[in-house]
Amino acid sequence: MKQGAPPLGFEQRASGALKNLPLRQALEVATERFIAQRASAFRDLPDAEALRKRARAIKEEVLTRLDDYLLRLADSVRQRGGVVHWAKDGSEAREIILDLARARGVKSVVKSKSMVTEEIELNEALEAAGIRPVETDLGEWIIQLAGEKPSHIIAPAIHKSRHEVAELFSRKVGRPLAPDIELLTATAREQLRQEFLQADMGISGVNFAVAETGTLVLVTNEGNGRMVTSVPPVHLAIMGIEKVIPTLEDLMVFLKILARSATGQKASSYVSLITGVRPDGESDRPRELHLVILDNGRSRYLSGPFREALYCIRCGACLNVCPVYRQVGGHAYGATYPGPIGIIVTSMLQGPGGSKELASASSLCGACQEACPLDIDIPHMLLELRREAVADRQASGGERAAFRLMAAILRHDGLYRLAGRVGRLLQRPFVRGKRIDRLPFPLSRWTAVRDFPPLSARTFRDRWRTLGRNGA
Amino acid sequence: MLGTDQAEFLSRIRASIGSRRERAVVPIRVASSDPSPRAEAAQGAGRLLDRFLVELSLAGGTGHRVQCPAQALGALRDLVRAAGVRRAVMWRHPLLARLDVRVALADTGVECWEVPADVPEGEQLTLMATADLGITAVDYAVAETGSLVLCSRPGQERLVSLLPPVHVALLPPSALVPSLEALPPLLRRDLEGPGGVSNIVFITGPSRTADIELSLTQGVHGPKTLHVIAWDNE
Repeated sequence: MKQGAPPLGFEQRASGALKNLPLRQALEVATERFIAQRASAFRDLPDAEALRKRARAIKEEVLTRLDDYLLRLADSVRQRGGVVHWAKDGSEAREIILDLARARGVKSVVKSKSMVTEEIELNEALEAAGIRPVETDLGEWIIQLAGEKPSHIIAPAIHKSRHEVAELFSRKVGRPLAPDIELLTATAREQLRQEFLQADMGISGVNFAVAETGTLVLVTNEGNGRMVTSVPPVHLAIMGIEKVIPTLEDLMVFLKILARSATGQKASSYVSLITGVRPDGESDRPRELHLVILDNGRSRYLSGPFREALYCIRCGACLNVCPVYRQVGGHAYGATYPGPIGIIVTSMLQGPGGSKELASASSLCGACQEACPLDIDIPHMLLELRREAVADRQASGGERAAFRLMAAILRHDGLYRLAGRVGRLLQRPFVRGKRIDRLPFPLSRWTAVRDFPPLSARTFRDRWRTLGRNGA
Repeated sequence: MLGTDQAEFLSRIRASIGSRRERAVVPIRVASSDPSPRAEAAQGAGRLLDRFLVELSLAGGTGHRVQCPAQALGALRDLVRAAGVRRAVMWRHPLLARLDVRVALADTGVECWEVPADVPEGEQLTLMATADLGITAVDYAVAETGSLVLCSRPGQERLVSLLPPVHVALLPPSALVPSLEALPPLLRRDLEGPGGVSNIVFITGPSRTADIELSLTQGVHGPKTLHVIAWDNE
C-alpha cells in the first residue's frame, strides 16, 4: 500500500471520500449504531463518572512510574516462562519478530486484530521474508483479501458491502458465493479454521498487561484472539509501552469501560488472561510465549502537552462522534490510527510535524472528549498541534500574514470599526441568500470547502447602543 | 538478543518522564489496590442466578435452570439429542466425574471423550477440532455480566470451550459471584497457586461478529451456541 499510489493530501483523500456515497451511508449507519449502543450500555452503569475518574487516575499513576511498572511486568512475565523483548521502534520490532519466526522455520502466521502490528507494518515485512500472515478477525481478513487498510478501529471493514465481501470470498474459495452474511461468515470460519490449525505462530496485540501477575489480556468477540493464542505452538504478543496497568483490580475497571465504549456491550464475548506458558501436564498449546514491548515514539509524549494521548485504550468511541470522521471515514486520514485521537497518536509516532495537515481535520467541537471513557482532552491537544504547526512555520506565508493583519485589527478599536464598514461594502456582490459561497482568489480556497456567513448590516455595537438608550 | 537492551530502554523512559517521576516517591502498586473492596449487598445464590441468566440471554447465550444436579443431567441429555450431537469432548473435572456425565450420556448414543494426556498433541487437537460439542464445568460465573470464567488446567483444555460448534457449561450455585470486582482475589489465587493457571478466559455469550454490514452473526470462530445448565441446590 505504502509504495503504491503517490501520496495524496488529506484534502484530496477527504474529497474522494465525500464523493463516495455508499461509504458515507455505511459510515452514518455504523457510527449512529455505535453511539446508540454505547449510550445504552452506560445508562445501566450507575457509577460511570466515578469509573472514568478511576481509570484516569490509574493511567496517570502508571505513566508517572512507567519504567518501574514495565520492569515489574517484564519480571512477572519472565517468572512464568515468557521471554521479553524491548523494541525502541518499528524496525527493531520487525527484526525481533522476523528473527524468531525464521529460527523456528515459521511458514504461516495467524494474527488477531492488532493496531500495533498495523503501525509497524508487520504484514509487509513478513511477506517480504516469505512468511504468510493471515488476519483472522473477520473484518481484518476482508480488508486483507481486498489489499486495503482498516477504516475503523473496531469495525475495520465497515466500508465494505456484503456484495463486495461475497466477491472477495468467492475469489478466495474459487466458487461463487451468494451475498448472504450467514453464509459468508460460515465460509470465513471454515477457511480460517484451517489456517489456525496449520499456523506455526500466532501473533496478537495486547489490550492490557497486568504488571502484578504478568498477565496479558486480550479482548475479542469472535474468539480469534483465543484461537491465535491457543492453537499455534508459539504465541508472540506485541504491545505499546502504555498498555501496562498495575493490578487485577485495575483490569476490572478497564474491562468495564472498554466493552461499553467500543461496542456497547457489558462484556465482550471473550476476555483471555494469558499468564506465561502452560505448566507441564497441560496439553493446550502454545509452548512458547514472547512479549515485544514497543516504544516507537510513545515515550516522547510522556511529558508535555500530549501526555494524555497515552491514556487511550483504542475503543474507537471518539471516531463515532467526530463530525469529520463521520463524513470521511478512516482512510482519509492516511494513517494507521484514524479519528480525533488518531491525529494525536499519529503525531506521536511520526514525530514533530507528522500531522500538521491532520490537526486541522477537526472542528474542535469537543464531542471526542465527551465520548472518551478516559476523558482525554483531545480538543486541547489538537489545538496544541495546530499551534506547533504555526510555530514551525509550516503555515504558508500568506496565511501567516492574514492572521497578523487580523490580530492588528482586533487590537485596535478604530481599525476594527473601519474593517467592519469596508467588509460590509465589499461583500455586497457576493452575498447569495444568507451566505457567501464563492469568493475570488485567494479567499476562494476557503469558500471552496465552506460558506461564510455575511457580516450583519447592523453591528452588535449599534444594537448595544440602542439597547442602552431604551434601558436608561 | 535483538532489540534494545532492557536497562537502556527503561532509562530512556525514565528520562522522558522527567520531573514528574522525581515527585512521585510512593512505591509502585502491584498488590491488591483496593483497601476496601466495594461492599456487595448480601445476595443469595438464587438471586445471583436470576441475574446471571438474564444477562446471559442478553448476551446471546441460552440458560437452562433446574433444581438439582440430577435434573441437570436430564437437561444435558435433552440438549444432546436436540442438537444431534455424535461426538462430544469434555473436561476431566471433579464435578463432571461426580455427576458421571459420561454414563448419563451413554444411552443417547453420543461418543463422549476426555482429552487423553498420553497421545501426541496433533491427535489431541484433532479430537477437539472434530467434536460437535464441548462440555465443561466453570470456575466462576459473574451475575452482573452473565460471564463464565474458565481456568485451563491439565485435562481442562481451553480448546474444549472454543473449537466445537456448541459449548455446554455446567454451573453449580457455588460458582456464582456478584460482579467483576469480586474476581481479583479469586483469580490471584488461581494464578499464583501451585501449578499456577496460565490461561483464564471470561466467556460472555457465543462467538459473534458484526463485521459485515454490522449484521450480528454468531459462531464466527468459536461456538455458535452457548448453553449453560445451572442448578439451584447442590
